[in-house]
Amino acid sequence: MNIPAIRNALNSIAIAVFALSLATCGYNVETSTDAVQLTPEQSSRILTQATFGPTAEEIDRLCKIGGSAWFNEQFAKPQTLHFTYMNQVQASLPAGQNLSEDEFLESFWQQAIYGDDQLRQRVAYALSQIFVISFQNDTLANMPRGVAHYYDILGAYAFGNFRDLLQAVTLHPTMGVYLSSLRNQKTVGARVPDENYAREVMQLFTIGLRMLNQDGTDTTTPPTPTYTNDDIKGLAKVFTGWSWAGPDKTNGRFFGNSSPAPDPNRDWMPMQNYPSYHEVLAKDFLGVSIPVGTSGEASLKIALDTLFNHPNVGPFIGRQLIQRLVTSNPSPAYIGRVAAAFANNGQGVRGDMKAVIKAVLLDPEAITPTGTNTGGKLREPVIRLANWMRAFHVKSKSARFTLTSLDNTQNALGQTPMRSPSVFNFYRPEYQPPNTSIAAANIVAPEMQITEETSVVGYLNFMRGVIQNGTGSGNPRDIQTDYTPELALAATPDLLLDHIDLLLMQNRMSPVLRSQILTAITSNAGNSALNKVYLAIFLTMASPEYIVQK
Amino acid sequence: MPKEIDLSRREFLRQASLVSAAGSIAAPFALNLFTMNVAAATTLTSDYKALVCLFLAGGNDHNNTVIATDTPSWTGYLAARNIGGGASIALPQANLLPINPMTPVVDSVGTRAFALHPSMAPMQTLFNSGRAAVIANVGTLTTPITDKVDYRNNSGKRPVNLFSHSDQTAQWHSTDPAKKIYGWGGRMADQIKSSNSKQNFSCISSSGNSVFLAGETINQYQITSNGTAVPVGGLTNLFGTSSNLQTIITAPTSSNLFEIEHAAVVQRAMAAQADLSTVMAATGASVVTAPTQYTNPNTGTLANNSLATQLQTVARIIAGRNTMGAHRQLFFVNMGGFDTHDGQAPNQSNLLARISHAVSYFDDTLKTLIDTNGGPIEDMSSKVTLFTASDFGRTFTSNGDGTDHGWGSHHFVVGGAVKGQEIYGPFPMTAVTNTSAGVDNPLDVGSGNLIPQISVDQYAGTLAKWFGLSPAEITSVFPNLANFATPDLGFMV
Repeated sequence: MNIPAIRNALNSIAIAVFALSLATCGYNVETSTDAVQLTPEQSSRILTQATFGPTAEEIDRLCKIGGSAWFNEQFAKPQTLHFTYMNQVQASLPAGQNLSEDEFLESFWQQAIYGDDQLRQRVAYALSQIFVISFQNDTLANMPRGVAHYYDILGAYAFGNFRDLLQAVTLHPTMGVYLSSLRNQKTVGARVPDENYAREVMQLFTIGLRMLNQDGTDTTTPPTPTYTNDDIKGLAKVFTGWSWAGPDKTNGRFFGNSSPAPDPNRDWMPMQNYPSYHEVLAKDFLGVSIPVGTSGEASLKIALDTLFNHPNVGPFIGRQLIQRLVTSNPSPAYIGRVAAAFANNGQGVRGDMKAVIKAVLLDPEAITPTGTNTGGKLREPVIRLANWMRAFHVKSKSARFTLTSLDNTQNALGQTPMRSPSVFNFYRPEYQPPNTSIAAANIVAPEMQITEETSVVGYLNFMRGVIQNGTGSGNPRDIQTDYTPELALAATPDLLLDHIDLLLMQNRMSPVLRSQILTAITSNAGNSALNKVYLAIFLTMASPEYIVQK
Repeated sequence: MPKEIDLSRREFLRQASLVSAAGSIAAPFALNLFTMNVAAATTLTSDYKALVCLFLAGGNDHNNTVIATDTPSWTGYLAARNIGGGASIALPQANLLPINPMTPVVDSVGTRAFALHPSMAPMQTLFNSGRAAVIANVGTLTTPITDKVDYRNNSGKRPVNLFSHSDQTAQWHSTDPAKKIYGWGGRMADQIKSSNSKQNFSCISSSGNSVFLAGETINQYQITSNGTAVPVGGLTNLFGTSSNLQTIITAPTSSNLFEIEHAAVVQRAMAAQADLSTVMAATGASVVTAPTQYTNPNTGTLANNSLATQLQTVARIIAGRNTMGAHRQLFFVNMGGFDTHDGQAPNQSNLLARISHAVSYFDDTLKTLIDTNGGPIEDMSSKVTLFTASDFGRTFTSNGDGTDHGWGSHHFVVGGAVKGQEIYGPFPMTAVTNTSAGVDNPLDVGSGNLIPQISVDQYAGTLAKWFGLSPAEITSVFPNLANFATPDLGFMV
């Protein structure tokens, strides 16, 4: 696959041109019908929230064509499938050697850093932190192609309808494995259906624990629960009889036995329903009663329709998307606007993800800094690394982006895509770090849940090494940049910092921090240009001002 | 939109966290100014005690951990769990490991007999030699619930979001619904932190951020599971120059709360790392010996036990108690994997083997623990108490090869100060209500999930009393304890 290599080359040529044109961005007279005329700061801000990180070129492009046009352009971009990459790599491996999560992570980084469809990439990543499955599950570690396909589903329905996303997730075999709905059996005597998926599909994927107003506030004080344990038991019956896809529905295939031979595509094809293992009894949940003898497929439709149409979904999912992309503590009004877009996209359709995404990312609270001391969010570690890779146009020597697990908190990021420690993601949406001004202000800071003494030091040491030596496997490391545009500015530290400020911090670097970094850059007059560039970038990325996206 | 909080209060809190982060005893009076909600602090400096919370994340199936094997109990067990199939979770009785409580357990079921899961031989030894006790049917409760009629008629008594992992985990860690982001371990540390010269080492977690150790004035310190604390590099020489890196990462430049609190974590990390790495014992044969590998019961092969490594880290820190001037410490160690909705037989077997191996290693290591301050080798095992906890137990019924979320559970307390070889608390009837078969379990709220007869408050309150908190302090940390008849369950000396 040569696409990354081609992109590497094109970007090198493009950099010089775009860097020069940046100064004129936003001042061109345009007769665009787009009402939103964006400044470079606003463009950088939107790209920070809608992509894996701004680049000089994309900032310029967004300025020129405006917000709506950029989103429409992004919505129209075709999806590159991780599944295709996994198949290509498998075909090239020697006999007996199998794929692992490493190849998925290569594909992830290729697309996250060089994918044109940046909006899709970023939204898929956000969805992967809501509809969580994880390679930390031993079985999924051995189904890397299936996990890659699952991630493609998130990417595909990121611009589709939530109802379809919910069904695709529910029936994906990797989710069946992760939340044990695969091979779940009907009630027989003392044996009762596994409740895992029924619980988590409500608690985490659709309606949450508390009844909500459309603006995300609780309907009552104390809160009203959305479901009872009886609802879970009833709903669990719907998720029975589902198991591996294949040419038949024999008992052996249901259990995943070696005979009949497992379908070679069962790792990604949607689960099928086996009537002999599907619950015959009535299924009662959330005020709905599915009659005795209803088929698995029909029961699933009723169950997912019921969940999809629950008024909680808009605010529950909307708030989490805002938290993943924009800010940890959106105002109730902001949540209400996103929930309204979920309820009706303007053409009478509920669950239109494109409408939701635009509502999240083009909301006034997303585009304009709030100016309060409770605004913003910690950038998660994976995003910080991605910001660096995109801003400085890294190239992968192998063109494969051989960057694997970053779980280690001491010498890496303490976070890896698709390796959440549990279905509750790396952090909870309502996390408040105790004994802090954040808790005292009664606001939440999800990403603080993975921020602790080891990880903060690990991040600093890791980035210091990455900025100088690159990252990924090998020595020298696979993923590097030569900082060509930045080196050209090293002799003019003010301009260098302007450039980095716009790319990494949306032009919001404070005078204090700027002065601190300038002091370091200029303190050793004989320092190499490269060292000055390293200093400028590292001190920026080490600062609380960068770490907090606001 | 959340309001901007009052500048002076924010600054007050920032100062408070900075002062406790500095760990200075130079201003205990100043610290007390910041502890307005805390009862008069106790200073305990004549001896050393430590509590180690071993949290089994996911909800351990207690029914296959401590099993009642008397005939009526075993009949109920088989009825619920012996549902055939190769992956059935019913354990063969011949493989169970008998435990013999010194005080016979005789109740309405009969004269009870007990055994542990087959993978728990070291724990069986600890129990039968008096170094471990079982606390039966303990779980989250803010007030007693008598039976399932009480449960159904008085839904307000039930813990909020029962059966939800995140909520029940938080409630086990916290027990106080009004202070759910603060743990009872942290709140205990708030009370006794003046017993420690370096207060930032009062609460130490080897498993990331825990609610359990989150205090209102005390921050827990996180250390890696193998005990290394790496310094920030580049502080003196960074890319060819000296730089103000330390200022940039620790001194926030704005009033944004996220920036302030991130900088505070970095500040704490730097202050503590320098300290801790010099005071804790090293790993090695003449210092604190590393654990052996354990035998995976499913494969029969030896493997590393990361839980034992975490407990070794705890032991190495305890070995440094005199060097760091610590007299009361709390530790948090987390172990995941217990949410056995499927594959329970092999998964739980492996997990219980690892727990038993690690806890036994820890007990042995504490018996001859060095002192990094040059003091004699000491038997610290009666000064350190390890206790298990979990989100909940699991359903008595099974879905074929696994179980679902439960409530009351059985737990272990281990150490020389434990009045071991006993089962505390009424051991429940182990049977699922089956009216057509004439079986009625008054505590069964469905699927054999039992209403706990001991609350987390009582369990924790007993530990707190041993730890040295005064009655007033115990009341302050456990406001719901007064709702229960027995605040001290009597399992500690």
